[in-house]
Order: sequence, then C-alpha cells, then structure tokens
Amino acid sequence: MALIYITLLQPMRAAYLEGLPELLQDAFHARTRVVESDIDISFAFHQSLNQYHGSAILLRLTETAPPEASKILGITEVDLFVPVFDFLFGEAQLGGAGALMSTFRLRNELYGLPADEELFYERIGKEAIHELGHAFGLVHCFNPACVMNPSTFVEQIDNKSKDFCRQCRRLVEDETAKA
Amino acid sequence: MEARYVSVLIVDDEYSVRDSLQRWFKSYGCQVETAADATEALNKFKEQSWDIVLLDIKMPGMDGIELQRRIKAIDDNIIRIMITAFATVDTAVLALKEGAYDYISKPINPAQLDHIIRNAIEKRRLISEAAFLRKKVDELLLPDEIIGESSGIRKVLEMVGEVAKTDATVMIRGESGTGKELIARAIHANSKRRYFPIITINCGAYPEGLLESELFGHEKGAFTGAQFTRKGKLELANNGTLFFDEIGNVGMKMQMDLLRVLETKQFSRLGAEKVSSTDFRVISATNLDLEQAVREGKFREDLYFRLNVFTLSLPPLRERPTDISLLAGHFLDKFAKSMNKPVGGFSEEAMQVLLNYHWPGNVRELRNVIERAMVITKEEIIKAAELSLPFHADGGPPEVDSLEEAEKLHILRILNKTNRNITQSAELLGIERATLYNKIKKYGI
Repeated sequence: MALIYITLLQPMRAAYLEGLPELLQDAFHARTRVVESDIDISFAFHQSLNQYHGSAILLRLTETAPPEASKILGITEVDLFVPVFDFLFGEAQLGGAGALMSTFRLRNELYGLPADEELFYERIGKEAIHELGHAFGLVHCFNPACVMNPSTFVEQIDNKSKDFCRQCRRLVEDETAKA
Repeated sequence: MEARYVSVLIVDDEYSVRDSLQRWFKSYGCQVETAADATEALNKFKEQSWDIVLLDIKMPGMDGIELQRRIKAIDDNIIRIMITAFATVDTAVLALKEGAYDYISKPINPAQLDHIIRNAIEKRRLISEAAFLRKKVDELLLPDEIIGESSGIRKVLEMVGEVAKTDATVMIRGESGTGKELIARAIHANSKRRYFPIITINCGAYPEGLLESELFGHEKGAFTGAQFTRKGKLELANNGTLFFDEIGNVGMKMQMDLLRVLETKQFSRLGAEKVSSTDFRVISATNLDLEQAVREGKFREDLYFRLNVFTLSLPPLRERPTDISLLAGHFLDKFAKSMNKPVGGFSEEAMQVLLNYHWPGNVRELRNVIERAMVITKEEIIKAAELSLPFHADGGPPEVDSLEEAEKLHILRILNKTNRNITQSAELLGIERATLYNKIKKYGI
C-alpha cells in the first residue's frame, strides 16, 4: 500500500489539515503520515513578486523526502509562482515523487467574499488530490466533474468534485497498486 | 481532439519559461518539446509537424514575428501563439496581423493560457475534422461511372478537366442516358465550388408554377398550401453549382425569370418583397435541339446564349462501341460487390448481344440491363438469355411477355418518334411529363 507523506511547510497551520489525511487515504487507497518539515522556504522568496518559487521548493521537498514515502505532498500558506506564470495553486512532478500546494488563493476573503471555512477545506482537499494525482502520473482530464479537471481559478475548483472520473479512477488504481 | 493527441512546441530563449511551460503542457498530457531559438525551432519542424507553437516575440537572432512567418509558410494550419513580455498593443496587433492565432503576455495568467489552449485545441480539432471530411467528400464526389477509352469520351473528360478550373457556364448536350448529370457532377467535383452543394433541377419534371416555387422558394402564405417559408434551389445552391437538367423543357415565363436571375444573381422568394443575392455556377443539360427551339420561338435566344457559353457534347453509346465491354465489366463488378454475388463475367454470346445492341437508352440502359441480369442470374457468368433487351442481336422482333416490357417498348417507340421530346411524348402517351420521366428512369431508356 502506498504511503503518502503530508508535509507542512512553514508557515502552515496544522488545523487546516483537518480531515485531509482520511480524504487522501480514501482517494488513493493509501496510508498517510503527517509531518512538519524543517525546510526553510525563505530561499525561494522572490522580493519583487512577493511570492515563493514553487518549483524550487518542490525540488528541495523531494530531495529531503524519507525513503519509505511513496509520494510526498508539501502544503504551505504562502503564495506560489513559477517563472512566466503569475501564480499557481499547486505543482507536481508528473509521475514523480513530489507535489506541492498552497492554501493562499483558496480563501474566499482573497476575492473580497465572505469567509467560508467549509468551502476552504473542500478546496484544500480537491487541490491535494489533484496535485497528488499528477504525482501518480495522471494528466488533466476534460471531464468537468473529475478532480483532475484543470483549475486555474477557484470557481473551477468549486465546480468539480473531489472524485476521479471512471477513467482516471482506473488509472490511479493501477498506479497505486504498483506503489 | 483530446489534449494528449496535441503536439506543442515552445520557443523561448529563457530556460525557466521553457521549463515551466513544458511542465504545464505535460500536465495536460500534450506531447511537448522546447527550442531555445528560431534555428532550433525550425530544425524541430524537419523532424515532425506540430499542432501548436508558442513562441516568444523577443529572442536573440531571428525574432518571434519572423519565426511565425516561417512557420506559417511551412503549414498555415499550425496554431501560433505569441508570448511577449512587452505587451504593447502594437506588438500584439502586428503578431495577429501576421496570422498568429492569439498572444499572451508575461507573466502568464494560467487561466488565460488555459482558455487560449482549450480554444486552440478545439480549432485544431476542427481543422483536422474539416480535412478529413474534405477527403471524404472528394472520395464521394469522384464520379466512378464516367468510364471509357474511346476517343469521344476521352475528349469529353479532357474538356471537363479544363472547364472545371473556370467558373464558366456550361451546357451539356447528349441523348438521354449518356451521363449528362454525371458530367455536371464531375465538373462541380473538380471545381473550386466542390465543398458547396450541387443542386439539380429537373426542369421537365415540374409544372410551371411548381418549378417557380422550387427555384425561388416561397414565403409562408405566398399561395394556397404554402404553410411554411421554404428556401428555393437558388438559395440552396449559394456558392455551389446549379444544374438545370432538361433545360429545353422550361416554359416561356420561367425562361424570362431565369434569364433575369442569371444576369443579376438576384431573386425574390414567391410572396416576398425582399430581394436576395446568390452566387452559383450554372450548368445546364438538354437532349433537345435548342437551336431549332430558338428558331421556332419556343426558347428565348438571349437565354440560349446565356447558357450556351461552353458546350460539351456527349457521344451516344452506339458511337463508342469500344466502351461497351468496359462499362459492362464495370457495372458487373459494381453490382457483384453490392449484391454480394460471385458473378465474374459474361458468356461470349451475352457479350455479343451487348456489343450488337444499339442502346437507345445509352449508358443508363446498359447499367439497368446489367443490374437486372445480376438480380436474375444464378450462375457465375451472365448469359444472353438473362439480358432482357428489347431487341436482340439479330435485330428480330422482340419477345415480349410481360406488361412492363410492352410498356417499355411502347414508350421507347414514342420517344424515338418524337426525337425524345418529353412534352410531345407525354402528350402522345396521355400521361404527365413527370410520370414519363419516372418511367424513363425506371426502364433506363
């Protein structure tokens, strides 16, 4: 059975992970372990953008991944970017070991809307499954209900479900069986 | 088209841009490669074709604008999306004027790129689908029954090839059953109008009032029974070809209306005040002596000259006897396939009968005779007795048993008597012209 490390990259409130391990266990038929990372992500900070370089953090995360981890998911509250894109919700190594996500743009308040904790946790769950799905080798799916449907703004995250479509489900089961 | 079937080439001099875009497209499942400059990009085109190219406008050496021109020259269907850090309107407008599909400025908003790429993939899908359908249309349009090695038919086919390249009005002359409609379709299929419809109007099959309605269409309530607005054939043929079969059978009033439409390419639906424009090529066909009809005042001279710009005369089958065995073999193969019957040829006697017959109904009659024989035969070879020809090789009197055969012979006799004038023949036979047409078609005469 695959083992997924859920790694808190500071700054990150552990409270935000409520229900996430169970959700990932269910989605990937995997075990999970929540750990606090000692990686200092300030090295990836870009002064003029006031954002953190996602790919650099992801690389550092996977370099320090424990050998028993099948996949490692880093979660942080900071805003992420990669060169040429102005932001990203998350990033993953396609078919690789690591995935990274940020909760920064998942809050309603950022868009001038009233806070909605339930929706916020739901978005964290979908984004975590989506990025880990990439790490398990899945590419974007154009089924609008599938969790692997690409999301480039929060409403797209809200529109899709937290579940894989039948085709993606089959692929992810094949992959997790190998792990 | 799913994203995984789409190939993407990213051309940018900055490694970090190439790297993150490559990963972004890979997450969509696209086949993606990168190039650091225009030279490397053009080399990539030597290896394979690409569906979508994202290219930076500002690059050392050849810039993105010039590179997209080169790519356009290689294949205009490749979707080119410009990336620019200098998002000035001028640069973007220049890129779009040069034929780029869209442009996106750095830093790229993922939602914007996602939107552009989804549209580009859809456009690419439509381009592929259109190419596939065009190929299918070309296959379907190839008329397979214009067969012959005689000099007469070769000459006709050469002329078809020549006239198809032009938009000239064509008149096809020839006896009934010589393949006038097939030739009209061949001209259309080889013309630049081939992806638009060819609309056939059998002028002899409609009474005058109905022909007018067929041609011009009508508005709801234009006449009793006009319950709906209906487009006429002039509108349906827009951008395509309008084929007037048996043009010699059009009445005088209709000739005048037709002349006006051909001159102005404008018309009004029956009951409508609005004048509509349409663009079509005209091909007409007749088996009548139109010059005689003009002399007798039955056909307008001005319409005659308008239609008779380029004439193609189809030889009757009896004047190209060398093609009979070729056509018979072709029809035999065709029907053997469609009827799933293992019939491989004709007996010597059957072939002699075919060669000696004078074929008043021309190729259509030959086709029908073979089809009937194919239905009847239980052998692998078609025998003379299975060819239900009204006159046998020896020219003796026909052996007629059935009422159908008798009717066919009688109609044939009347047609020959009136020099195949449909109106006169129908009058003599005491039936409607439309009925006569149906019977001619049915019997292949």
